[in-house]
Amino acid sequence: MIEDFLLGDNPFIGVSHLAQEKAREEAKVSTVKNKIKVLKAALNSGATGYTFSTHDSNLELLAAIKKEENLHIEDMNYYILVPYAQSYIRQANKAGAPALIQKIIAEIAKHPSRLIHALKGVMMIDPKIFASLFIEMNLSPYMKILPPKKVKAVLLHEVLTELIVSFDLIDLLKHIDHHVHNRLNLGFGIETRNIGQVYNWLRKNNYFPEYIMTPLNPLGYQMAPGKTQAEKAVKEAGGRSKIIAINILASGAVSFEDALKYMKNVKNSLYAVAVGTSKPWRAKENFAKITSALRQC
Amino acid sequence: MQKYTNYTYSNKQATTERNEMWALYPELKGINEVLDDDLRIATIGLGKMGLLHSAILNMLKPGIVKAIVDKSYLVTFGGSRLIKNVKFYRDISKMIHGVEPDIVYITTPTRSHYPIASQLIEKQISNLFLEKPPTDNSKKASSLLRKCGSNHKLMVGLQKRYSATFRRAKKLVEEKTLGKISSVEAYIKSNDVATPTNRFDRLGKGVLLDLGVHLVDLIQWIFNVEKVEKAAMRKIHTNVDDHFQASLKLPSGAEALIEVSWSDTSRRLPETYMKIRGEKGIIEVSEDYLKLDLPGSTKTARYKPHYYQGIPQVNLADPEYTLENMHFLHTIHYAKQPITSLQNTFKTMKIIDELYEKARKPID
Repeated sequence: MIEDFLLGDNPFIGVSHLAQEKAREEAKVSTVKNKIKVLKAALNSGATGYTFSTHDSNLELLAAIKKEENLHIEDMNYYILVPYAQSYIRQANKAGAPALIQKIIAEIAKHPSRLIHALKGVMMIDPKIFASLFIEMNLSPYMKILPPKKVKAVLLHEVLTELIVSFDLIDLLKHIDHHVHNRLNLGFGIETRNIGQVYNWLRKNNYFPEYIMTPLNPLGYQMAPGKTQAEKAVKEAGGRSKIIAINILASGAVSFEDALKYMKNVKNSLYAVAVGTSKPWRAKENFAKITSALRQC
Repeated sequence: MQKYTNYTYSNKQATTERNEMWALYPELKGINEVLDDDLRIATIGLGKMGLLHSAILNMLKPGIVKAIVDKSYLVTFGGSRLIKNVKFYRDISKMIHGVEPDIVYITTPTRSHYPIASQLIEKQISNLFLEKPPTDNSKKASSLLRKCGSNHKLMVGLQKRYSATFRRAKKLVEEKTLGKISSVEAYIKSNDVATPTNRFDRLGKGVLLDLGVHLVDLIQWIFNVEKVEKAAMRKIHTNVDDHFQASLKLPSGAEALIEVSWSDTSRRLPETYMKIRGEKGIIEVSEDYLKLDLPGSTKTARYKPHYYQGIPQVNLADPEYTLENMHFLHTIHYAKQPITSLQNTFKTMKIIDELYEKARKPID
């Protein structure tokens, strides 16, 4: 049964997997005031949470929500995608990878609560410790605002997930999972656009994270290695992990009706579904439709 | 955003689109056999592009990347502590001796491409992938070509030629769907250099070579540039070209106006765009879409999700990177030259040189 209906933040932070021109148009209307209107409309129509990347604008939004009278920060569940990869890619472009790594290590060590762990990382010569602290560092400003019990999961951004899988770094993934669960007391998951390969790899290693976030749509867009294999992987992984479906509209290429029809066929494997929009009226309409179509078993 | 048609999903429509998509890549027939090959790949330079190519290759075939070379001790030491199934080196010769790679990816900064590629050619490495731009000028590209024997494959990472939308645009132009081409307006823009930096001083060249090479290559590939007419460059945050504008003459007599910038703050990601006008209509094409407007008959828009429906089999960054890597492996298996071989992209490098020469006097 689907437990959470989530508003996704892509349109709020200028991300569109359909076209950049669409993202730029959405970004123009994405003021904090408008985002709050969208969130309210979504919650009033059945949404139960917000899934977002650690993009600076989300920090601003969450701080604003804390001051809102008609919208309480406790009203939603949160699923946080870490890190906001594009910001690091840009920094790597600018300064090069080694300089970026040095900068990240210096930033990690700056904070007293992370310093001891960082020193442990140096003494044990263990990059896994730094990787986990890197996730913690990215989360830290958000955790100062959000009620911890409402943060359901920390999800590893697909860039890191796919790198971990491609280089067969199961120990690293388990380390981050352990760190998030035990040091931060939060749920842990991964985001992937290669669910078929990722599922096979998880199965080979006999390890499944608590959550898996992955695109599911009638076109098979961002469903690697192919639509059929991805659907099969979701079905099988659904028995081991909580699956969060994203990009159900294939970035807007299919209609909401077509997406809903498709989702009805796969809903038994799902734990949560995320949909994004930058328009309050659409949030109202879409969440009313999606909750009524998918909530009943 | 202009919507040309309402799209209705159906299984039949999706199948048609998938077939049309594969038809854009006739050279990839038999790719599954290719992935059965037992190949050993080494990557030189573990920056952003080195990581991306290595990850895609390993996702296509687990464990295919056997070695990574990087001059940074931090990268090689940290990497070797983390990644157990790859050997890390700081010296290229030692890597060749230790791993005997079939294929080497060179993803280091541009200035080092020429000496590294030369060294690998001398060491009889037959299959080289050179990230774009292949060299910092056409003279060095020409020198590399002379060093290569007939058994060498030297592919350049000009991945826009593997983007489905630009492939379709080329097909439509070749099929004369627009009739005679009357003009082209094109740009490539990013926000990669948004603050002052002097890191391009040693190379002495900026956005045209680094980013504009994609746009110039696409125009050359689709239309075959006849002549450089005008060129102008501008500094914004660096001591080299941050912004470049030029006019290219095409065989139809049409003018292609190009604009290149890496300091456009409105861009979250790099974006390449072309508006192609012909006597029968207009094509607008970017990495994200292709819009075809033939007044009186067709007006369609097809976006990325319509093209990449579970294709290609790895989804990491833009699909064009995976398609590019599949293409390279395919050419090695079937002993063909890549579409973006150094030979096939050499004219692009000549045009880049000409553009810099024409724009020598900056218009500050």
